[in-house]
Amino acid sequence: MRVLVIEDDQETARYLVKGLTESGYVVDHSADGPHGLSMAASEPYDVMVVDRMLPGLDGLAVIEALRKSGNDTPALILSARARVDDRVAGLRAGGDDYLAKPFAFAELVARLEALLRRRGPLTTETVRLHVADLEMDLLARRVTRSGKPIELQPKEFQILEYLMRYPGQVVTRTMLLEGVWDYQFDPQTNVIDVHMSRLRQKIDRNFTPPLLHTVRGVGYRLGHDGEAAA
Amino acid sequence: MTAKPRRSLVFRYALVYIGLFGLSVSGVLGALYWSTLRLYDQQQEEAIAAEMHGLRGQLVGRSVTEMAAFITRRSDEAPGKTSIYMLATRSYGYVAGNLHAWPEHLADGEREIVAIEPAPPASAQQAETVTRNATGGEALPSVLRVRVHADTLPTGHRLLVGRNLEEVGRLRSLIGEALVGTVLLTIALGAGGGYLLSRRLLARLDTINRSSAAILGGDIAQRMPVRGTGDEYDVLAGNLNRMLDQIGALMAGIRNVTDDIAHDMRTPIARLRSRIEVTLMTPTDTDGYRQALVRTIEETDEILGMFNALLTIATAESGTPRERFATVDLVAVARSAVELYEPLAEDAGYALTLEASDPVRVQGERHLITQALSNLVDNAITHGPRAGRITIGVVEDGADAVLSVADEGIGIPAACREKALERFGRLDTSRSRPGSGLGLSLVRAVARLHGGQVVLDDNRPGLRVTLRFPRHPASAE
Repeated sequence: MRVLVIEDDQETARYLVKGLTESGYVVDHSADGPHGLSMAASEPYDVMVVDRMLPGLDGLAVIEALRKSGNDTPALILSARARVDDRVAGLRAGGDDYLAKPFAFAELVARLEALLRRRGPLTTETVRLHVADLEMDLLARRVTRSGKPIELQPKEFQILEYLMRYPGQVVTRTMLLEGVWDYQFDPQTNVIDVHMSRLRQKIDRNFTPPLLHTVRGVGYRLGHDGEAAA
Repeated sequence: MTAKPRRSLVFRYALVYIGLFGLSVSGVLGALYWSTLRLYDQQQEEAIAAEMHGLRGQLVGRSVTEMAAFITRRSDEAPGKTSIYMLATRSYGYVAGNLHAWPEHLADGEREIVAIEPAPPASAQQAETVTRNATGGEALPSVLRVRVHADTLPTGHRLLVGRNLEEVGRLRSLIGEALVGTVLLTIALGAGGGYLLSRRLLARLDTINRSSAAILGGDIAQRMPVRGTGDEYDVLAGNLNRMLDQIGALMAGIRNVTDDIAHDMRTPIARLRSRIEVTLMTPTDTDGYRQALVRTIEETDEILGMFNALLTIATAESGTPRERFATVDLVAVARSAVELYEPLAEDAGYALTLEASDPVRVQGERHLITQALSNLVDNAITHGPRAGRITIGVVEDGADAVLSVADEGIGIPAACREKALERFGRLDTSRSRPGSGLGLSLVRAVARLHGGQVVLDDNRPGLRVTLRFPRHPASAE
């Protein structure tokens, strides 16, 4: 997977390039807006990480220019500005996700994976999701594992749906809060963990192997243990 | 900086005003001039007509000699050249009077017209001779402008009566001079007055400008002088002073916040630093270092969480533009929070319930309201006795929408409630309990942003936090 990092801060850029390379990405880096835009326009990248404040041309303008030219490479915006309206502006400019600085590296990787996944054949028209022997019927709102029905609360259903849309990938607590509850902030307590342990009770307790795994300090992953997280 | 009188707005306004005033004075006086002259003309007409009438009466039934003598006498009586008379034959030949040639175009005897009348006939020499003969040496000026009436007597003789127009000319120039003088005087008075007035107004403005300059120079405590007359300058000075007071209060507030932040952020950072130092002092294996680093990241996240909370408070306090407000259903917000926290609450031993039925809509920022409510529920779960009920209530109360979170914990003593709403206003000074001490102060900031308020009450037992929003914030202000 090729990723383009457009980031002017040298320290952050080095950290991103090193971390992403170690995570198995092929990383290109550009330190300013115009150069980044020309790279993004000329090379086929799978995903981009764009800092919002860039010399020459700011990150939002870079993404806007790309979108206008028909380039729809998924873009994750990095920004020190974390307010809800900053985020809205970022997404409106054509960004696909928005991550406030400072961020946990694992969070960034999880979100990039999610963006890459979103590019795939999976669309909202999908009516059935499968992960191993776990099956979800989105129309009938039914979940079965090994053919046995599992009763879920509405929110549990939504959480599981979110996880099943990103099988084998790490999904962070923040992603769940944003995706399932539309909460744009992290509550003081780890309120997600309780939901996850309840969900785990329902989908894993009477079955083997366990499918819902906790990734320490990062989030959760749905899938066989053998499947790589990233 | 102060303005020079010549560049002063007041002075320039005065000039414009003088211009306009001068124009209108000229207009009024011009109209007066015109109507005066017209009236004078009219009177002259009437006087001529009256004299003509009188002369006719006198002349009727007399012989030509008598008539000529009468006209000659009348001509001689006429003071100077003001009155013009001529008696002529049917064919306009001279008989008597101080005019010697019948005006050419005054052909019709009956009609009275105004004509320009050369005193002597066609040639000046001739006229002089004739005039001298007739009037005994007293010559008329060579050309006169005369208003004349002509008439035909019953005997067929022609009679002409006229008035010299020179007098009108004198009157005209007299009135004209008076008019120009008046306008000049008006302008002079206006300009002088405008200058003095602008000097006076500038002097008052100057005091305000000097005070502003002093404040700019750093003398923050300085205020604009108020005379107590209650005039516009006093109102302006009063408003500026109130504005300065408010800015001063806000600055003091910011200074306090900065102090708070500096003080309260030091503690976790100092703790973080000492942990790292201790780790470095005691050599350990990779696993030990890894653990220390994991703890470091956790504590850093906590500090970042505090910064985020401060930023959110700042966002709420600086006032998200009202245009960005949207309709928010508090019941939906509360339901979502219940769905999020219910498992956590249950595991901690609480029964988290929602008391609400119909949607309660307010104009607001959904994410901020959600975060405020989330903080309250978080607090209730974290600081409670791990038993009892936690109730989220949403009701409409008149013009207000009321969102409340009540627990059955130890509550907050009445004396400490105000402090609890302040930044870092933790009541537990040992800081052993989790939390940043910013939760309630965010709640308060969010309430204020929406034009509402937050009240801490005794839930007997426990704490009840009530957020009151005006349902139509626009009309509430």
